[in-house]
Amino acid sequence: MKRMTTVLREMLAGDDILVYPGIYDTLSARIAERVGFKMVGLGGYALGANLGMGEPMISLDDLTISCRYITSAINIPLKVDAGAGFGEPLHVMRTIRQLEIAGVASAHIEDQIFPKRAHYHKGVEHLIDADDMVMKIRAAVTARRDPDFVIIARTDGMLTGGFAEGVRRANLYLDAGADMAFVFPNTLEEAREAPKLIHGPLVIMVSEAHRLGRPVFSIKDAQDMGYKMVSYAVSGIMAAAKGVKEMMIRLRDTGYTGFTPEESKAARQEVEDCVGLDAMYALEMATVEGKH
Amino acid sequence: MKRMTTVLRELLASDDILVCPGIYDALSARIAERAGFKMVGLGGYAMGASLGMGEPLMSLDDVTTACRYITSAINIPLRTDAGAGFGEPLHVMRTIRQLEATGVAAVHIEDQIFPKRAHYHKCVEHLISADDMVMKIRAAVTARRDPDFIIMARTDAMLTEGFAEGVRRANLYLDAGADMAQVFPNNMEEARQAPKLIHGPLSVLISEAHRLNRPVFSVKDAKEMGYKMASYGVSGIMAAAKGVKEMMIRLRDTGYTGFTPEESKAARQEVEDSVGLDAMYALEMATVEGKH
Repeated sequence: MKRMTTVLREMLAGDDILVYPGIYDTLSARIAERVGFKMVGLGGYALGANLGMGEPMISLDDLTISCRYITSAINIPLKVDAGAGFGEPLHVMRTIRQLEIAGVASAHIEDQIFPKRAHYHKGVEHLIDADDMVMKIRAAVTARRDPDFVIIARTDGMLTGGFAEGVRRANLYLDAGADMAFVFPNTLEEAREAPKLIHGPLVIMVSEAHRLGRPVFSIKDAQDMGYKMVSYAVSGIMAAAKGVKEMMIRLRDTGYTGFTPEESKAARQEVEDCVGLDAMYALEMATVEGKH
Repeated sequence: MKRMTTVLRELLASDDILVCPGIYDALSARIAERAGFKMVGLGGYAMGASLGMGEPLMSLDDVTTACRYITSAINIPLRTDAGAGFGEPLHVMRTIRQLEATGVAAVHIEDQIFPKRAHYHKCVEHLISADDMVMKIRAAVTARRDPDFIIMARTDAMLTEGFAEGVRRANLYLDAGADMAQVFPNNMEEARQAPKLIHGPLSVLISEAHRLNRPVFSVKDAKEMGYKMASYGVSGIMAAAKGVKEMMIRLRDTGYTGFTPEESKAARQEVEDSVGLDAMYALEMATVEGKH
C-alpha cells in the first residue's frame, strides 16, 4: 500500500491527463472508483448541496467529516475543494493539516474572500489581492507535513479581472509554491490559450449549464489543449438530483417508485458491491457467523 | 412554527396514510420535500451506503451527524432508523436523547442483536428475546423528553420465527408503549392480515428487489390494507446509485457526462432551489452585497 498522496504524485508525473469526476458522498466516490476513475474530487457546490446548506456555509469540520468517510472507503486519491482556505494564512495552515489528517491527497484553495458569499454563484465575485493569496499559498506549503500532498491554487481572476489577470495570478501562485494552478477561462479561446501562458501544471473544470455559459468540452479536448487535470465537479450531484427527483415525482404521482425489477436489482447490487457486503459476509463467516 | 414532532403527531392523527420516501442526505430530503411529501425517512441501508461503510458499522454519532444536516434543511418531519438502538436499555436511552436533540421527529428501533451483523442483509438474522426488546422500548419511552416524539418498534420476527410471532411481538411492543409498530410481512397474504391482527398503528416497508422477494405494492394498496405509514426506505439511494453510475460510465466511455444542456440546466436548478440560493441572494442584497 502507498499513501494516496504518493499515488497522486505518481499519476501527475505520467503523461496522461487526470480526470476527476465530481462526487458528493462516499457511495458516489465508490461508484466512480468501480467504474475505473483514478481519482475523485469533492467540490464545494456538490458538498454544499449534499449537506443541504449551500457552499458558502460549509465549515472546515463539515468538510473533514465528509472527507473521512470518503477516504476510509476508497483506494484512489481524493482531491477536495478547500474554498478560500477557511480564513487567513493562519487558518489556512490548520485547514491543510486537518485535510492531510483526513486522508485527502490534494486540496485547492481559491483567491476569493472568506467567508464566502452566495453571490459568487451569481457571478458576483470578490477577490482578495494577489499578494494576500500568495501569503495563503506559502502558509499552505509551510503547513504541509506530507511532501506528496498536492496543493492547488485556484484563481477566479479571469472572470472579474480579465484573462490576463487570471494568467498573471496563476503564474504568481505557482511561483509561491503551489503544485498546480486552477483556472476558469471564460471562453473556448481562453481555454486554449491558458496552458500556453501559464508555466505549470494546470487544472480546468468543465461546468455544465453554468450561468456564464462557460465552455463545455471533452476529456480529450482538455488533454489536447495541454491541461494536466480536468474536473467534472458538478456531474455527480447533478446525476443524483436528476435521478432522485424523477423517482420522487413517480412515487408521488403513481404510488410506485417506477423502477423495473431489473433496475431495482441492478441498483441494489451496485450499492451492495460499493459497500463491500461480500467481504463483510466472508469476515463474519470466518468469525462470528462461522462459530455456530 | 411548530416542532416537527408535533407536526408528525398531527399527521398521524389524520385519516390519510403517511408516505415516507427514503432519503440518504439533505439534498434528497429537500427534493422529496419540494416534490410534496409530508415526511421523509433516513434508513440504515441508505445511510450506510451514502457513508460508504454499510449499515452494521454505523455509530450513533454517524446517525446524529447525518440527521443534523437534514433537519437543519427541511421543514417536514424526519423519521430515522436507529437500528438496534445502539445497545441495551441504558444505551437506548442515550440514543433517544441524542436523536431528539438532533431535531428528528420519529425513530424506530428493532429487535435485532447489537452490534448488527452484515449477515442480516443475507437474511441471517439474530433476534433478541421479546422480553429484552420490551425493556428497550420502555427505556426509549422513559428517555423521551418531548411527548410528541414518535417511538416506533420494529420486529424482524416474521422472517425468522414466522408470521404469528411477528404479530405477537408487534402487539407486545405496542403494549410496552411504542407509538407504532413496523413489520415485514413475508408475502402479500401476510401483508393483508397483519393490520387486522395488530392492535395499533402500523408501518410497512416496501423493499424493492429484496433478496426474499418481499411484496411490492403501491401507496394506495398499503392504505387499503390498513397501514398508517408506508416507507420506501431504499428508493432514494437506488435512484442516486442508478443515476450516478450511468453518468460515470458515460464520462468514462465518451469523455462527456452525457447530460443534454436542458438536463444539466434542470438538475442545477433543482440543486440550487433545494439549497435555497435565491433566499441567500436576497439576504445578501439586504446586507453585505447591498451596501455598495
